[in-house]
Amino acid sequence: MKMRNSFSLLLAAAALAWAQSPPPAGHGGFGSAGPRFLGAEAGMPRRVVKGAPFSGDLVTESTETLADGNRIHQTSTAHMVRDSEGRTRREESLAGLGALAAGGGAQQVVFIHDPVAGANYALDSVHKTANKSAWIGPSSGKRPFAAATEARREMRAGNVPQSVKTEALGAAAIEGLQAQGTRTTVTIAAGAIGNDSPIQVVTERWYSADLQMVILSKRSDPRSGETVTRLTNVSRAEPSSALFQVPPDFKVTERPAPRFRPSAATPSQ
Amino acid sequence: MNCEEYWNDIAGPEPGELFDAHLAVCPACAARWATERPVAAGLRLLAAEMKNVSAPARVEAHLLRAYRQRYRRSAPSSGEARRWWAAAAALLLAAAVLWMGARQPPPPPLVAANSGVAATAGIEDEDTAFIPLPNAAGSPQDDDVDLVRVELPRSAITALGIPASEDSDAESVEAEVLLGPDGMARAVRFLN
Repeated sequence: MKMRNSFSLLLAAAALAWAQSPPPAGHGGFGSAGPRFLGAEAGMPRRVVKGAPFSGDLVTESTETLADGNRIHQTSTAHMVRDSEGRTRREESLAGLGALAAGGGAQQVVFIHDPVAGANYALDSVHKTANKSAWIGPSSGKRPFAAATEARREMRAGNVPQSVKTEALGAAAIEGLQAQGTRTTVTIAAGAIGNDSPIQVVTERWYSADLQMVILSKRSDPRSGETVTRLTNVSRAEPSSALFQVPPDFKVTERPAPRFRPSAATPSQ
Repeated sequence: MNCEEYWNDIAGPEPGELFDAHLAVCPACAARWATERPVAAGLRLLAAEMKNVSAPARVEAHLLRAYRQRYRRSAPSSGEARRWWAAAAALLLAAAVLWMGARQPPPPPLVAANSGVAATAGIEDEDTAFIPLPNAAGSPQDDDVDLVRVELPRSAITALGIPASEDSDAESVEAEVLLGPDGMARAVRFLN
């Protein structure tokens, strides 16, 4: 009787599953309360910047003050390296997951984007594995994350009456680099979203033409708090090429393409 | 064989021909079996199609743990237990197989010189399930992102301010998190 055979098959499989021991706890040294690292994938960089090598730490601090006076303060640091060929390496810890990393976050993951070799890598230094994906050219559509971000912005802003004011802040030396500052102030009118008084969201960005990136940004929103990201410990020395290679004792797993790609990557600048 | 024995023992390893004989003389069981046959056929088909695919031990462990917890809460009688065991075993395997099917990586997108639309469509589909995080609201939209996959206690969902069942805080949930160039999480999606 086919049904009985089918049930027997299912039962046997389930019994085998029952007999399996649970997965090893802590993949990367996390405590039981924290996140357990399962893997990583490098995305596709939006553009390649050549001729502007540097290394430094991108430090982000966010502070949110709750209505009862309580404060949530989180800090994350990513070490970033770029060489003259436009190869980049980022070392990040899971502490950047914020609330998701409560009780853990010590695990580090390294992302290497190598336009010269035509590959992206995500390295797991604990298990000595590398997830490799091919370098793919720009596609014509929107970036994946852009849709999510826009959705949230639309959800927040919607058709809310708001005014936007942008002003230049001039030049300043930050971490030994010359940067141009811009401040954007978005004001949501009183009553627009049930608010008693106007809400001001202020964003300040300092852009370094030498590094071709924002090296200091500050954002203040009374609804979500204040976030400051700054590039520190900056060195303009050419980094070692070994930093952009997978260590020989790592096991490399290859996937055809990154799942996260840019919409209009600039091959070089 | 009476009706109770039939339904208690049908999931046994060697049911035997007595079962066919019982169906022939019992209209009630025959009718019930007729309603359950499509489900069984579906499971059989699923098992045949996915016979070369095995669920990760971790997934099966989660499913079995969840079943054990539910089973402990309301232990049925021995007769019921066998039926529940059979049904749960079938459901566990089906769920694991379905999960594996859903988790199989999609075929590589066709990214030829002029196939941007097709590639983008695939990406957009993957993107829709991500939940942007509050601290990402001010980040540039053109940030580069990388992805990490983690297993979290379900209580982490609550920490994000997303409502979650309080009696399942001890359970774990798998998530994919997009990280910006500063290492801060930009968006998250939960896979189970």
